[in-house]
Amino acid sequence: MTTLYEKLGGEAAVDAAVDIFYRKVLMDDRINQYFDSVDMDGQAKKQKAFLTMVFGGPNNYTGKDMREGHKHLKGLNDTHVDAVIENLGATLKELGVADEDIQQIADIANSVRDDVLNR
Amino acid sequence: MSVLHYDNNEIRLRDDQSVLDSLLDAGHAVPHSCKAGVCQTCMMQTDDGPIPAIAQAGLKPTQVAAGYFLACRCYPKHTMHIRSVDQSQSQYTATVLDKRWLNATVLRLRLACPDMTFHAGQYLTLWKDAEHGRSYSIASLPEDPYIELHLKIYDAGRVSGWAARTLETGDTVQLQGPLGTCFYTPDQPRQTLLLAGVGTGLAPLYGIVRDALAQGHTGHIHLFTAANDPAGLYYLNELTALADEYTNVQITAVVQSLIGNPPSAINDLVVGDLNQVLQKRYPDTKGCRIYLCGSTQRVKNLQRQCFLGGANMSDIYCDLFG
Repeated sequence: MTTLYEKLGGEAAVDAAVDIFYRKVLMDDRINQYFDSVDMDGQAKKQKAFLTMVFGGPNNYTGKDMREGHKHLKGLNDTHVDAVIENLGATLKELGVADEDIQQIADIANSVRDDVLNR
Repeated sequence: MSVLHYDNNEIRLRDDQSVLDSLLDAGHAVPHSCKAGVCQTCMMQTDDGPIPAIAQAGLKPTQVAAGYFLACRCYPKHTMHIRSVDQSQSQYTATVLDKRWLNATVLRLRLACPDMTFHAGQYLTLWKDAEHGRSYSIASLPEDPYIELHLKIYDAGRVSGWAARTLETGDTVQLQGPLGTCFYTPDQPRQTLLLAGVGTGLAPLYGIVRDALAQGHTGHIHLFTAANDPAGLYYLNELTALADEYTNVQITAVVQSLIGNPPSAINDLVVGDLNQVLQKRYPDTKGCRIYLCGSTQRVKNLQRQCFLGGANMSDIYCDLFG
């Protein structure tokens, strides 16, 4: 039985998604202040790790990691998480991912909402 | 049973243990994070191939060519000498073959150093003495009978001042290197290459263009060399000669102003800001491979601009001059 990650195409699918997703968040005025960084290569790696996780791929991030990773971001709230998930959906649609898979991915992203917002 | 050589230690590998876990178990504090081959924090380097493909998955072609790998995904079947990435460089003694001023502030050094292996576009450290060294990018190819560096000379510069005033042909100097992943790889010979640099940022880009041509690159190659004014440009004859010889090569010189000197003999001289000129000429960078060289701020802005224009992050190579 194939996992969601395998069904999506594994690491190659993540690589195809990262640049598209990263471009979208950089152009989104609701959230780009959180992603605009001098270290774009480092940011891209974080995007890759995030996408790997929501695609159901191998990762070792704990809830604590997600809290620690986002704690320093000032003013972060639900609207920002919503915007990220929206951009994620748009990316997946662009890549031709099926709607039910997009929903499954959005659910995984939502499952870490409270950790990201440290509540 | 495979053995790892790391930092003068020999570490026995179990078949089921990654390089990272073996090092951690042996008490070495190797930086790491996700242990899933994604974050690339555990990147290390070796000259002992073949490296298992999975341990190089996700790396740029230049990193693969330089022997970089992810320690958490590497389960080698043979002995490996490994280093952390910033230790993947050695010391060499070189002899100064030639010193020549390319303009009022740029000094070209050609050094004999046959033992150093490198790619055009990587950088090395030139040591004035045990404590003072400066990094310079390599403008020449391994097949050239010299290593060529373009030094921006500052009167009060400890290393550049020494190079300009004290260093003489025939002197020996210490070099350390090479480092850097800003170089040409022949995996996409028809790809459009865009190269943009300010001042002595031309050095690695000049080497990369020649390297691409030597390796049979047929895609369009467009080099932008920028300076404040025409006096800051150099190598215009050499660049024009390349464009004359190779129909796929295009050269554009960009200056902020024409003050001080009449424009030099180059076909395409534009007055403006490099980033804006590049944006205007190439608003769509999808599918391009891009090499950027200059100050950190300039290069980071160009990287962002080119990425938003459609280029893949992994196709944008940055050489930061600080």
